[in-house]
Amino acid sequence: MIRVTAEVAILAGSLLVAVASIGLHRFDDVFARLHAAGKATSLAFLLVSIGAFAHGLPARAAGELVLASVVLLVTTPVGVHVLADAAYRCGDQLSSSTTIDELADRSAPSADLDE
Amino acid sequence: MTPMLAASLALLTFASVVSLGRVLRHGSLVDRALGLDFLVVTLALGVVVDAVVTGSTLFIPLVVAVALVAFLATVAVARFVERNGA
Repeated sequence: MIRVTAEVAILAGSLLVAVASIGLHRFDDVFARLHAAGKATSLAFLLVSIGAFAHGLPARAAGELVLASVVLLVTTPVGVHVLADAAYRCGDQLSSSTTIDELADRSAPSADLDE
Repeated sequence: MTPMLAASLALLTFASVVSLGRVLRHGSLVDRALGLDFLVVTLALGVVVDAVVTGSTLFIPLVVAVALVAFLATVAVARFVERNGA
């Protein structure tokens, strides 16, 4: 019974990743694609790790998988933010269905990046 | 290998092929960077599911290393894009 639930969790994580990969193609804006990539990977990793532990992965792997989950949860938003910042500064256009641009009055990239 | 685990591996394979298509498709460098980050995490998930199937935890440190390195690579590409343009 627990094994079936664990396998359902693993399947749910894999399904999430598969749907997000389709979303990477279908979204018409680089910022929406960042949503798909960032959110799905961290949640799917959590689901698959929980499913793996419930299925009976040896406890040796517990510390490493927990570490990897925490690392992914912390670093994925940072990576997405840096990519979105770079994309906006380089002039990637927002999609036509976007109504609010909160950074519209931002100036050009400043010269103090290297300091 | 139960059918659900086999279906999980099939879904992960599909996801990695599709995200590779995203990397190769005409787009900016940011598109390729996020496609590669996604691809790498999908492969790491495949390693975890394979560890569940075989019961061997030999390759779990690979998952930790991959998660760290993918983040570093993404940030490096983003800084490059910010400086030089896509």
